[in-house]
Amino acid sequence: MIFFHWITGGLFIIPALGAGATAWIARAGAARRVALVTACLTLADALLLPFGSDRGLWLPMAIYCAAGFVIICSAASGESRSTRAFLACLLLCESAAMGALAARNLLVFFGFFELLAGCVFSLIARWGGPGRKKVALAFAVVSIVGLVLFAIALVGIGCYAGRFQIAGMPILLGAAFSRGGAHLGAAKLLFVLLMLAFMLRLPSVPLHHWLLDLHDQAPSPLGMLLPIAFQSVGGYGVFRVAYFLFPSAGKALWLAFAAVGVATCLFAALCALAQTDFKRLIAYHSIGQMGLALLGAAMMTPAGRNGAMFILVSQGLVSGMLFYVAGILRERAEHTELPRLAGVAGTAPLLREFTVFAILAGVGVPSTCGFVGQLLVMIGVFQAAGSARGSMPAGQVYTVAVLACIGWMLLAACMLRAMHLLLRNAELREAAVERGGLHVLSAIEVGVLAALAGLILLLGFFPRLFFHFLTL
Amino acid sequence: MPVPAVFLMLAALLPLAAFVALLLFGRRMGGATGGPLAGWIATALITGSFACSMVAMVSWYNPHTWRGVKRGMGEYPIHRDLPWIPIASANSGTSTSYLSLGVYVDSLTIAMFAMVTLVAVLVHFFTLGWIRRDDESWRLFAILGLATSCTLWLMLAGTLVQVLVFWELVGCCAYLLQAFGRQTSGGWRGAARGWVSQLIGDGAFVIGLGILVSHLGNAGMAHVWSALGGLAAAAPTAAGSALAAASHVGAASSGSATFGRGNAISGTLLTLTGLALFGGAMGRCAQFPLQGWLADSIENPPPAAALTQTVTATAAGIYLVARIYPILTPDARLFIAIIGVTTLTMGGLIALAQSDIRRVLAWSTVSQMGFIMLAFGVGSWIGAIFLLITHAFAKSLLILGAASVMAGARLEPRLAGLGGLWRRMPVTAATFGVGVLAMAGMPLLSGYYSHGVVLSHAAAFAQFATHAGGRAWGYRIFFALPMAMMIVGAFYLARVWMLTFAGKPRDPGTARHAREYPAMWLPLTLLAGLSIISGYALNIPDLLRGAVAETRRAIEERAPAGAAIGASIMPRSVSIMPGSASIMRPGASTMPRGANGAPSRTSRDSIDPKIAPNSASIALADQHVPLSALDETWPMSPRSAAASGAELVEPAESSAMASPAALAHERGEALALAWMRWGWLVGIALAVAIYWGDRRIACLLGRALPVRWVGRWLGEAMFFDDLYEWTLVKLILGTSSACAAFDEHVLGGISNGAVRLGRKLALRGRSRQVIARVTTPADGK
Repeated sequence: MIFFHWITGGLFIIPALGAGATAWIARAGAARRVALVTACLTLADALLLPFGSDRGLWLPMAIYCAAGFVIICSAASGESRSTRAFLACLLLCESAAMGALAARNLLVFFGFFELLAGCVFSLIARWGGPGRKKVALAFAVVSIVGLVLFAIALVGIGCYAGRFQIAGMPILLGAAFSRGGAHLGAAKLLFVLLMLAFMLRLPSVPLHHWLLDLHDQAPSPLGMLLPIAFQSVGGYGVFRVAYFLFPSAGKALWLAFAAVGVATCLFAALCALAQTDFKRLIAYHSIGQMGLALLGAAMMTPAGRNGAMFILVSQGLVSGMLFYVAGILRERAEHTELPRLAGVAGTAPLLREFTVFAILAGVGVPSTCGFVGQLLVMIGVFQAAGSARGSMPAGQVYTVAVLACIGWMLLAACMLRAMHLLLRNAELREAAVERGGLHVLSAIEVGVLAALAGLILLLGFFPRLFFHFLTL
Repeated sequence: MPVPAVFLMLAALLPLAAFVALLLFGRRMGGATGGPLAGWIATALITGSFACSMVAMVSWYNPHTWRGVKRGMGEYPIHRDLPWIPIASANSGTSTSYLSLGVYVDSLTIAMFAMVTLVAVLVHFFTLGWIRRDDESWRLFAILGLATSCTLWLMLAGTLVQVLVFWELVGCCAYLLQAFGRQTSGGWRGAARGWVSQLIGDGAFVIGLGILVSHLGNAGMAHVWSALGGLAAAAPTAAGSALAAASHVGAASSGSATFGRGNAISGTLLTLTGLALFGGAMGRCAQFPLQGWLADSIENPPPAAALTQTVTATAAGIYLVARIYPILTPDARLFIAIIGVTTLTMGGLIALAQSDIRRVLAWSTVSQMGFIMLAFGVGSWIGAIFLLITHAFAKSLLILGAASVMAGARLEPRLAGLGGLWRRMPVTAATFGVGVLAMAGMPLLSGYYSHGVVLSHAAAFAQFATHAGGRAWGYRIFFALPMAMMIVGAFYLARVWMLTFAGKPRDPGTARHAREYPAMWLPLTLLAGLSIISGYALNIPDLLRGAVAETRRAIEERAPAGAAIGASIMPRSVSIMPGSASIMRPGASTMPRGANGAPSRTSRDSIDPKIAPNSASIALADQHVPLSALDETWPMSPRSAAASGAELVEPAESSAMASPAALAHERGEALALAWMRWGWLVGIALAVAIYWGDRRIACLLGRALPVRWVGRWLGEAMFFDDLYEWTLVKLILGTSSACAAFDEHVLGGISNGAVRLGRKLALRGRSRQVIARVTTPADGK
């Protein structure tokens, strides 16, 4: 047992040590190698977890995050600009994300959760594009607001439960709230505070602007890190903290959060349809996916919850791949304006195939993991109607379901539009070739893209790899 | 797994192997020298797939014992579910249930496999002759393989979830074919439009599936049928469906079926579920509001168009309706019939006025799909599938023939630029002519039989509904319009033939250089042969009749709750409350309604339901009844027609030959017979007369103003594209730019304001230095 405590501890200790080593080593090349090895070691450590007896959402998420960081670090080491401080910062992010996932104590979770935000802040403030000043400030403001909300909720929880161990806390809280005095109202208030803090991270409309700005200025590895680790850890909080601690409040407020989820999905999809910038389009797309995840969580049905958890992972992989493609395009063409890119992605042989694949994964074609999560969320919504619990009137549920379905279709449509604009017909492609086209992909780029595509297909074909570890 | 299932899976895997192999190595096989190599590999693999389907079919005809019962033609189907995604079902408490994938093999599966692989093989051979030394042709072959494989897996599906999975993939393949099939194709716009309109249908499908899964906890085929079929049979209906009124007689009218703990599905919800699932098929089969995309898909390379229009996308939609048929309530079926009639009329009229050879064929496909939907709506399950199969052969013949014409005539698709080619292209002209006659419904060719089954059912439906439902004439359109469109169809196809092959060349240059490629002869000739004989020689109706019997047995296998076999295949047993009685009763049973095409008739009239208390004995009796509903002169013998009344009324009444339904069938069949026998000739004769020689009548007609207006209206596909462009598309794009503007200015403004506020606060506070340090330019390069 002690051994597995150390395995769990290793999840955030290894990257932290690695971060120190990377920062300490003088040569940039060696630092890159150290960073990569650290990420791989963490992954190996995470792969030992299934042999333990502990189960839960954190386990597949930890494995997925570790794999994601290996990919992010490879992508970062492919870039000549990334310095050792940058790599150290990335590893610190990994440490924070892993710590948040593995935390058994609310205070620990809170600490790692905010540390993650801090790391992302320093990444964007130090290595962002020319407009980073404003963006970093906006992000700081958002993070601080989230921190304050979370902290207030923590104080409340501490008052009612008397301790911060997550395990067993729902019972304590339930007892506290049922003991008279404080009724469901207080639970609802704490629940809403927590949800607001997490919805800032997901992000959900109307609290999403920081993400768009961040993606505008983010270097490519950070652009991948946001969906893979940052947003999904925020979503993890929704399940691990908010809905886990306050199920009754969640049930009482299901319509509000389902409505926010559907609104996020619809609004983001509609906005995405109107975008002319590839990065912004994908950013909206990832927000829309998170809206579906929020919806699945809010329905509180088994399929909905499973689907929402799966979307956290699948959205990370798919958006991560899309952002990496966008990063490649921006590096080669120096912009991501779709009308001016017309056909350019078709000029580099392998890039075209990967772009098509990434966009199809964004559409949510079956056999990619996007499909599974979205289908499950939809089925989860209907489960709520079928389960005949008095709290969820069938009419409202069906309305939500139909709207969510429209949102899903619109999300697919905006990806199709991107495909249309990026790859369209031969004349434009030939013109693009004359303009110089794109260079052939480097080995690292091919590796990163192939790894992401492999993971997307793996989870698409065998989603039980993920669900196996969930205790329902 | 039993032999047929193994071979069918192999057949479905081989095209996938072609896809993977070409994706990995195709680029290296490309180029000036290796181009055809990719094609040969794909063709070899797909031929292997066809061979596997044939082996499976042979083995299916000789039933094997598996899991304790005989499985094969006319016996029990092969059914196996594999858990895929866990969902704890809402009504099962704590135990985990799954969205399953699976395999379901019955005679319908076998027939579909044979059809799909056969057409795919011939299309592949044609493509080998058709491609030039195009170094991108490997991509076309790869996607063709993927599309074929996805269709096959869809048809092997054991659960509706699996249908959805491959359903989406088939749609994706249709898009990829159009967008990437050829490097120089300009079909992006049409491709995207096609996928979006299919996505609308998919949304409906997902809604239907969601309702099913949430109530049943699973969506296995037999599970769905046995749980809901009884309810569908007894569903109370809104006003309007006379068929429903008929099936109501004596049926215990139960409001809902209940599962688990108070988890009820009502008749109305079931109707809506059926319609939602049908919505998916509307997208794939280009039914009425979503019809435009099929005509856009003509920019596809011709082989891709042939597959998309006959055996992949459209066949997938038909297959879905065939599978959900047992749970369609009478209201839902009436709706389907109405959509079918609308579509077939629209498609037929629009095809009249097209000037592009490929567009005529595409709209003809739309019209035929409407025909098939109508067949489902009026209760002719066998007729629908039969028509799908004969249509697949004839239509791929026509599309490939058109491709051969275009290849020979400098890629000219406009009818105005063709003409007089039969001397230069005798084989193409002859085979195309066969296709035209087969589609037109000339006796002894395939179309006559399949259309005959459908039309006589439609006529009987119209007759019976008019009498029983008491609404005079309203229902006559279900026969009148299809019959009229048969004649119109004969006319426009003959028109294409006349304008392409007969008369004097309108473009002497094209005609002089026109030639045909011998590499295309083989597939064209084989397809022509199939179009001729598939009506009576390939045993298709027998196979389909077997499918009906097997479906009934699949339900029976599940229905006794806790029966050993049923329980081992599907872990959860469902108790069905009130509707269940009717499942076991032969007359008002699920599948007889479910498959009340020819099959139930052939068996029904020999059995008095009162001495056959359960469906098992019905099924047994099936084997002893000579299944000869189709004799060589007419698709339906009088005997079977009389019996088929049984599906319209309770069996107690049907035993009397003089019941109104039996009379309706007799009359309807006679009516259809009279019209079918000469209708095709009218259409063709008209076309020949109008377009004969130097087309004097056509020119004369073309000068009349009303004709020109109508021609323009039809030529532009009734302006539906413009209508959608100006309403729906504008609405969505307008909303989206409004949303984007709102987001940019209002929400963005608020967030900027907040940041400014935060900055002010921060600067006022002590952390001035921190902010200053952060915002200095990066120096860590």
